[in-house]
Amino acid sequence: MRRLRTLTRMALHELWISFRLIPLVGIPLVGGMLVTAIPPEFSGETAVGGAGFWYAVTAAVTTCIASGLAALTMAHERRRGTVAWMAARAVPRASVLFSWFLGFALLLTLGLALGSVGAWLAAIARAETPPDPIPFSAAVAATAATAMAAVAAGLLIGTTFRTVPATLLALAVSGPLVALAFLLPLSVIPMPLGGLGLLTHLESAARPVAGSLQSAGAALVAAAVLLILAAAGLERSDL
Amino acid sequence: MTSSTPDALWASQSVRTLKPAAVVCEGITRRWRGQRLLDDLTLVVGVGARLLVVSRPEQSASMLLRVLAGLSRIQRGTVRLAGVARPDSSAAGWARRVGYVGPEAGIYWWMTPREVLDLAGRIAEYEPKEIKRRIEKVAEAYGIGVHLDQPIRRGGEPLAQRVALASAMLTDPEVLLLDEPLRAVDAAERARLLTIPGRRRTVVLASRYPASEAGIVKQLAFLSDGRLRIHTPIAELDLQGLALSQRGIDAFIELAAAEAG
Repeated sequence: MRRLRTLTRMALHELWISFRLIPLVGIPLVGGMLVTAIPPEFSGETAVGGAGFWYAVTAAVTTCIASGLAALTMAHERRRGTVAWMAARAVPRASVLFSWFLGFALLLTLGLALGSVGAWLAAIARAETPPDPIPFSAAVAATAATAMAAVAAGLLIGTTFRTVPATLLALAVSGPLVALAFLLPLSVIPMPLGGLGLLTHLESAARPVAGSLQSAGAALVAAAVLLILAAAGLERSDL
Repeated sequence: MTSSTPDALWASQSVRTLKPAAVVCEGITRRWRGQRLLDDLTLVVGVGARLLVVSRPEQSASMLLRVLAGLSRIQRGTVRLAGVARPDSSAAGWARRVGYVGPEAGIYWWMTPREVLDLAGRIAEYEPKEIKRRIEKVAEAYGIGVHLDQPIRRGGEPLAQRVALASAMLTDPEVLLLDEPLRAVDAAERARLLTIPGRRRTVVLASRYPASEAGIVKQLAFLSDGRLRIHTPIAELDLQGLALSQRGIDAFIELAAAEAG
């Protein structure tokens, strides 16, 4: 456990030093704040629904970028020998992988949470009566879980491919998947993408809290499965 | 002195008689991009040896060290280092007993040498006091004392490679695997740094430039198409008046083949 904490701290430091932390926290934060600047004619039928939709756009962009960055990071770490440095000291490869996942997950959660505050403040400012924050918060939490699954997918791709192909592939996979949350009706959106779907369709969602919990659970299960596959891939790869 | 093997064991008559092996590879095979880099290779390296591994193709020697370090997989065969079959995560196991330095330093350049060494010490689960003592010891031995608290980036590749070697030596490993180490360091300093102390420590060095390893190693293993062609003391080359170079090794193989024929 102590080792994992050390590795996660190093991963966070590396993300900070290499400026990769900026898009992970900055995009949702700035995106959330910009929801206030959306003109009234584009801000949706209800204040919360409009804020949810525009924040979903921000979260979708963040999710794609996080997936690409995760793939780039894992491929880069393999290539420059930092994973080998750890593995030669009998640090389990899965621990290295999981520490990177934790680093990304912490930053994404922080960024999406901070950004959602900005979006929520925009919703409150436009609403005629004080809206219920719980459905919105639940949908944001489920969106964070979706982003974590995208990071796990990126890490899986990064364990197999070189830096540039891994990054492009992760973007190519995550882009169309998050687009489904906007293009499909809420009832047919795949469960792990449900958080984004609920944010997008918050106005029409019948049971937003229950739906968020379900989709968050599905996204976390998907993340776990992808991480297990990534760990198996890293275990088999040459460092 | 090694960190994990009791002195009493080393002092025993049986150990002196048995001459234990530090590295044992049995029938290991590894293909890479259609090329058989290791082909049913069997190699036994005794405790305390200083072995140079040279190969044709050149990647074979490097692959062997990566296999020994647990970084590359084998398709067949078994490997044991310091009595351990594969990397384990116990403090007294692999992390302390086996050291590996590759051609890439593999460390973050924003870190200071002290941070890298501290990390290596924490991974090996030493107490903070012990880590501090070991850091001071290796910093002095590998000439990184003045850079200890500066980012590695400032010293560039030469410092990064010194720190990589120092971090491998921090645990006082029984087996040290060196894959094309310290290429960015100047030749004289490199030879000094690679003269690894420790009578019981086994050093296996893979190199594409055998001439640059003269004086550092005492044994030579030459792999051809993944198979062990010769494993001999360097003194045997000296006896034939041959230099430790690729040409000298080729000549030695020819002589050995002629004697056998």
